[in-house]
Amino acid sequence: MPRTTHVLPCAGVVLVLLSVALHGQAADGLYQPPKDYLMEWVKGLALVMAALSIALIGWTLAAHRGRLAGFRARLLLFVGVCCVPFPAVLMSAAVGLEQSKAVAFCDSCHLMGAFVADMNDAGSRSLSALHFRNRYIQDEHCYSCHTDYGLFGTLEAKIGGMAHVWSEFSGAGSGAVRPKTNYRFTICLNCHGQSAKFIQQKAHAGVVDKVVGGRSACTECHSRSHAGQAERSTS
Amino acid sequence: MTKAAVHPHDRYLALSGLLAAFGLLTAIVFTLRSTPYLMVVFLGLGVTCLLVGAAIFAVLLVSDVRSRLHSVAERTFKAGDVVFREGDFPDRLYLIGRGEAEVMKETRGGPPAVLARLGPGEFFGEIGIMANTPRSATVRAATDLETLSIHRDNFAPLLSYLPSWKERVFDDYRRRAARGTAGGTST
Repeated sequence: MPRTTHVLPCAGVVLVLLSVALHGQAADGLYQPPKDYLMEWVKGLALVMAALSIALIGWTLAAHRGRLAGFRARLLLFVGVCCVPFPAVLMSAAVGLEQSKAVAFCDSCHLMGAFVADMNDAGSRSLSALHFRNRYIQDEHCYSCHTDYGLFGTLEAKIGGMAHVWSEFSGAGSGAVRPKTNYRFTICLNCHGQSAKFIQQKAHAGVVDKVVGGRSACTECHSRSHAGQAERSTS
Repeated sequence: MTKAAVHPHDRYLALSGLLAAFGLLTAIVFTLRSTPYLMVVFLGLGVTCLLVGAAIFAVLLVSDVRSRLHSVAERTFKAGDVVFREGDFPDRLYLIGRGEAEVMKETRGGPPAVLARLGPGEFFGEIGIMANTPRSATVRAATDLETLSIHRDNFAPLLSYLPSWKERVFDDYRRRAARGTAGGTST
């Protein structure tokens, strides 16, 4: 049997084993839901393509030094500079932006540390801590409440976030997190608005119209979104 | 030992490759660890480097293709114009149609020495192409000069189509190369 016929089944077995390893890992006795397979594969593919492209460019520059204008070197550089990098970078951007929805991403900015610490605080009564503790939101805890829904919600959130990062990066930031506009409490209604528990609560009668009209806020009756919010003037 | 001729695109192609490699490196780092700062570095710096690298490559490619499309072109020079300089990349061969050209060699401290004067029917620029070395002399238009220039990539096929001319080119090449080693007129 030719040697190459062994390679494919072996590669398949390795990939299956890797996929199994990604599923249902238990950490600290807590059940972990399975990871997003698609994103894991895209991530792996992006890394492999980017690494191969760098290797190809490096090898071409070294092996064809002084002869880069030749046909062979140009062809290799065309593959390394123009063909492979663009899908690799697109996949990297997709993976990176998807990962930016995770709490760890927000927590990597020191300004967000206090908010995340409050969310993880088992004794906190803030709305974010309650939502996190009871897993009212399954994943992407910060992102779910701080992005608007609809076609451009994610884009607006990313652009706003990038502006925050840039102001910190360039030193123009004041060192405090301040909301650009008032928080849109209609985001709360996206989850709660149609739930039986919400509808059956008499105090909620007529509240929806007020919240949608911007005349009422959920935090008028419920506790603050984040502990120490008034001092930090956060959203 | 004579140094091999390096194409002027060479360093820009290297720059293009290095920029793309840097962009890809930022992509790898951002994919492995997504943080706000790395996002700015990747989207701001990495993607820009990659786009600039690809743009440089594309411009060089278009320039090269255009040069090859105009593989045989008429070129005119006014009296005193320099056709090419000593040390330049040997990109084309020139056949003189009308006018005269001077082959000159730089001298230390003094004015350039005129090695030869070429007239209609003669050609110059073949030595660098055949030996793949940088131009070994400067050629200047002594009078208004009309030439037919041939791209280096089309030089060999042209010789195969014109056997009689091929013999003449090789004879001249040997003669000039021999003189060139003794300070002659190799171009």
